[in-house]
Amino acid sequence: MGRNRSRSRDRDPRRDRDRGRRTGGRRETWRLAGAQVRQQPAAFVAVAATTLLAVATVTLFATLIAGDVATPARLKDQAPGEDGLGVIAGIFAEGAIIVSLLVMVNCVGFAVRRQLRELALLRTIAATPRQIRMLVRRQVLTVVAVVAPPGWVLGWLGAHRLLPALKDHGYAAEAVDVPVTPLPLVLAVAASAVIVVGAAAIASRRATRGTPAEALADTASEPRRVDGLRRVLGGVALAAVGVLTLINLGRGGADAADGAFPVLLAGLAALAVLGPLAAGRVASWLGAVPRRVSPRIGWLADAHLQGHVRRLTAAVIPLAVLGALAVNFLLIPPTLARAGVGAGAEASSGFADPDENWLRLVELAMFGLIAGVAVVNTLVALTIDRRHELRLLQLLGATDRELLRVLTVESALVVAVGLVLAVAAGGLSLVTFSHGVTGSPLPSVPMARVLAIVAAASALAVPSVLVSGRMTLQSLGRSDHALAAPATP
Amino acid sequence: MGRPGLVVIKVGAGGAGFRTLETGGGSIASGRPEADDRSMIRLDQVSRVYGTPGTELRALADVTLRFAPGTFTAVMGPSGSGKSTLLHCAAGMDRPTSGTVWWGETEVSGLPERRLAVQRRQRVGFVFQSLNLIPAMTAAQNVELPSRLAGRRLAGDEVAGALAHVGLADRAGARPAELSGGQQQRVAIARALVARPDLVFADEPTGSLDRRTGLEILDFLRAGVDTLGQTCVMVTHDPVAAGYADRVVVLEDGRIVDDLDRPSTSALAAHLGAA
Repeated sequence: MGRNRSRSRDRDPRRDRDRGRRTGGRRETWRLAGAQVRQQPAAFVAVAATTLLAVATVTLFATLIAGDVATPARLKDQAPGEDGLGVIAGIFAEGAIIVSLLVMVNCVGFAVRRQLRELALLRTIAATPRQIRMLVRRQVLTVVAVVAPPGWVLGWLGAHRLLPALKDHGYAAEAVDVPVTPLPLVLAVAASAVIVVGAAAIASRRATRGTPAEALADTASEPRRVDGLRRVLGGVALAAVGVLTLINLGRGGADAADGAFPVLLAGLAALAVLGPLAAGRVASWLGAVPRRVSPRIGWLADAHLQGHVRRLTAAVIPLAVLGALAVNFLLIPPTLARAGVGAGAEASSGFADPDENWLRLVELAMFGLIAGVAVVNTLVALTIDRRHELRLLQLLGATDRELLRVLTVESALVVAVGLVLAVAAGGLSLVTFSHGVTGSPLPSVPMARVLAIVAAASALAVPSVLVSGRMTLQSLGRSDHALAAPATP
Repeated sequence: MGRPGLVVIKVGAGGAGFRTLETGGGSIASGRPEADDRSMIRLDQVSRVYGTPGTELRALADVTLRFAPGTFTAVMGPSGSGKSTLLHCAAGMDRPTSGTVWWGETEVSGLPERRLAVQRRQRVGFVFQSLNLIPAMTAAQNVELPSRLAGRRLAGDEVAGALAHVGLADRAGARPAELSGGQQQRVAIARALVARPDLVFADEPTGSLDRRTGLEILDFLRAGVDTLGQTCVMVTHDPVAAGYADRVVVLEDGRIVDDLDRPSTSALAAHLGAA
């Protein structure tokens, strides 16, 4: 074999030009990475936006923690709250960072999966698996490099805005200041880089593993079989949910309140891993409704959704993450209020504290921003993608008005699937909380709050689909070449 | 490899030139450079099984085949007979479940994926049935892509020459979406042949094309064999396409059921009809 290789070199008349062949191959992967990004502008805007927010979030909290560490202990003694800023920022940061990273991973996966077909093609024209991995790594690292400076500025400004508010609510000592240190930025960029690279490597696996023929076959259709890795991780996450739930059901009062958060985190992890599989099931159950109600529009919307479920999960998962958090944050206070009436003493756990509620609303607003950006971007990208399909439906006799109604029903289904998954992922932590503080596993569920969650999710999803759908239909109306050139946006 | 071929690639300006070469082709063999063992392809008891135990599908069953250097072989058979699997295994695109595949003295079935890719980019050109160009790149960029992935830069006139060879000199800057199906397939041919590979594989290269364009594509493949001494293996279901080959191998249920030497088109059609 070795002999063969050297022979092939001798025979190659272009061998002289092969100096620097490694760097040449590298340059090509850069060029390809850029070309692929330009093919998927909307998907990479989503990656950029969520990465920007992830960098900003990590920077913000790391800055606050650094500020706390830099403040001498004797000055901090004056802080009225029990917990110092570092502890608050840490707990707050935990949730915000997990949510932003989860959503970022989801968006990276979405952007990479959309290129799988082309990546497999590159394998058939003799790109090595390593070159493919390098290509996607470069795409996502370039995004991190581009958004890191503005993300840092955003996080730093955020720290300046949040610190006075935290002081007002008694979560920070007056002496604490926003420090000037590069450390938070370094931390934020490093964490984002590691996570996007990992997510990109996992998302590109179908194009990098096996032979080129297998890669081509694997990427030709949506995966039918469940990935072994996903199965293992999903099993671990579900086991964690089960164990943490049982542990927390055995606790009472404030301990159960504290233990609810880990249950929620495990639920979110399970959602991230198993959500894409569960979404298909849930969509096929829920799809029966519009199919029955409206045999034309509803049937079309349902048929579409079933065909695209795997792609739509990119929008469903952030929606479900946000929903799971909202379910907890918005339903815990009324449950506690009931505990206050019924059991009395438990109200001391701090959840009834208006300052605590303020903190939770700030948190929820922040999560909403992060997940909202991902939902809107993904749905817009998916809708624009479908110009070819919409054009076909137009040719088959569908009017624009009918198509917009199809899109509306579809986006409503996306919201419904997202919320069902949200309840599945976030419900258990709420149950353990309720069990701990009120003695009953049934939390208080005020209709107004439920409607607020549904309305917020719909407000994110439906207009993004409708506005981009309308724009797509208008551009189709203007162009006669839509069918001839589906690949050019 | 390819000493006389240089001339042809640069001079040939389109399908017509090669048509003459081919149809005037009694003397093809005399112009053929001596092919060496490197461009021989050998499959030794190759089996390929898909799926998991219980639901397994045997696409290839103990196939032993030898493709002589500088020959053009057509692989035929009903759909599901294992034609494409055979081609993928022979081209190093897929791995046999058992058995070995050799290119000259290199056992490619045992190479790790990365080294196999390196071997392929040095020695193999592949043309697919479906249009397998990278949409984001121009025709010229698509043609030079494999070489660039190998860290090698083709001279500008090599790319231009390859595109001119397939009659697309003026479409170098066009992206796949702006080209017709036939033009895209010609770009794919230029991409497969530009690095002057020893081995050329084609999977139903004319399947999605009109007859005339299809014949042009076959001319390009034939010319590569005759003038460059390439070893070409082509999967096809079209007796006319198979008529361009020196030899026709017929597969059924993953086994070779016939091995014909230069059959005429009509004989082939009759034969396949009977099978």
